[in-house]
Formats: sequence, C-alpha cells, structure tokens
Amino acid sequence: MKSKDAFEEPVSECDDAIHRLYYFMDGALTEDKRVQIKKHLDACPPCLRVYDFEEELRQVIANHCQETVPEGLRERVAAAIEEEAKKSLHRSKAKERREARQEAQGNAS
Amino acid sequence: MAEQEKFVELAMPHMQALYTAALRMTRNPSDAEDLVQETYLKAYRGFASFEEGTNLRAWLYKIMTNSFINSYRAGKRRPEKADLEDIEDLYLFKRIDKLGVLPGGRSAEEEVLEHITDYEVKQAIESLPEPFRIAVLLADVEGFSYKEISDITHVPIGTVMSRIHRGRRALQKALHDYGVARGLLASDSTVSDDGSGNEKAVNSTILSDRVSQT
Repeated sequence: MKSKDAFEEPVSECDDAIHRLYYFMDGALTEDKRVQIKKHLDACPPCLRVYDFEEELRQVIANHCQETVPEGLRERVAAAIEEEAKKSLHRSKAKERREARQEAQGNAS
Repeated sequence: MAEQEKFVELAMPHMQALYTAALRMTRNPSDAEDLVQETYLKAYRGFASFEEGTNLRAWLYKIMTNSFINSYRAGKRRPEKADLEDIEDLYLFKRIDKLGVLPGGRSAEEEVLEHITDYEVKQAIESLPEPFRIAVLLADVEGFSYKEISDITHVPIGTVMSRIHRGRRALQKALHDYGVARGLLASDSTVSDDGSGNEKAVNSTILSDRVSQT
C-alpha cells in the first residue's frame, strides 16, 4: 500500500500482506508466515488500516445478521424429540418382550 | 431417558445460531423452522453415533447443511445460478478510501461501517449463490475454520477457501451498492439514478456489469 519512494522496504511486502490477508485473518497461515505478516502490519500503517477495516467489517457482518428463535420453535423441537424418545422406548420394550418370549420358548423346548 | 436429557442439554443451546444459518440458507422463515426441526430430529436419532469429545456444533451444522442441500434445494423448481462474477480484492475498502477524511475528522471507514444495517447484511448474504452463501456464512457468521467447513460441506479445502474469498468480495460489492443507494458512497458507473427510487438503484448496480455492456 505504500510507495517505493517513501520507504526502503520493497513494495512486494505490502502486496504479499494484502494478498494473504484473508488467510491471515482466518488463522490459516504457517507460523512463520503469520509472524512475518504480523510484523509487516505492525510496521506499515496503510496495510494495518486495511487489516483493521476487514476485521471490523467481518464483525459488523456477523453482528448484523443474527436472528432470534421464533416463538414456539424451541417447544416444538423439544416435543418432537420427546415423541421420538417415546417411540424408540416402545421399540426397545417391544424388542425386549420379543426376546424374552423367544428365550422362554427356547427354554421350554 | 438419560440419553435424551444429555442430548437436550448439549444440543438445544445451539438453536439460535442454527436458526440464523437456516434462515440465511433457505431465505424463508417457515422453511428455516422446518430445517431446524429436521436437523434436531436427525441429530437426536444419530446421537448414539456422535463421538463425545468431538465438536457437537460442527456436527449439528453438518447435519443441517446436508439436509438443506438434499431436501430444500432438490425441492426447488429452478436451480439457482451457481456462479459468481469475479470481484476485485478489497472492493469496499478501495472505494471508501477515495472518500478521504470526512468533516469532523471521522474516518470514512467508520462512517460506512456504522451505517450498515441488519437488512443490508442479510440481503447481501442472501444475494450470494448457494455454495458461496454457505461458505461465507459458516466462516464469517458462525466462525468455522476452513477445515471444519470442508468437513461440514464435503468440499475440498481449496474449493472452500476459494468460495469464502470470492464470496466475501461479492458480499462487499453488494454492501457497497447499498452504500451507493443511500448516498454514502459514490457509484462506480457514471450512469446516474433514473429517479425511480433506491431499490431500483441497488438492482441496477448489482447488474451493472451486464447492463453497461449493452
């Protein structure tokens, strides 16, 4: 982000930081690379400004699209789970009875 | 009963986040409620196969994303446009940067970020084609890592990264277009508002690439 004339460092360091910015933000860089970019951001205000903006934008996006659970959904889901639990309890009880019957028949013969 | 209590205790606290994602995926409150309910039922039925100590949140999102892709998308008559135009890096920042420092010494970044609304963010996310919408949602709203998103969506990690990055840029363009419509940002094109209102202006900027070629 800064010009060649104003600083000693090569322009490519800025390009590199900007190019890898999303990977940096997403924690997807190797430790060496992460440290290198971090060092550059600390030393280069224009790049840091870009980084701050992108981080803040991500926060704004996350904050502005939260929903509240509609009324009754929690209860409906809980009831559906309860129903399912009863069904599987019936199934396992029926299975137990079947097995007990089979065992009894086995013992009798 | 113990199994049921454990499931309820562990899984129910994720409902707000799951519903948020469901609504962005389906873009429809009644479908979103159905999707959440279906997700919980499937998760409960499969709870025995869930390995304790692994990531329950990621597991729930995996069930939900699969359900969405399999039933809701399949039920749609017309397939959604699945591609996305290429948007340049730092789309929004570069345009904000042109504004310089505002009167009163406030930075243009602050000014623009502060005025972004719930409606705009929700619409902008929902404007993304499905694969990009899901990737950006999981990364930036739900905070999953590339690896987790790859696992949730059954998509190779390289594709996940590309979808997140391209999706973010398209999202920035959509937010920029809202900024233009409200007069906070300058339009890219020299074509001026046709006077038919903001809604039209947003649509025309979203479509500007195609329009400007005609």
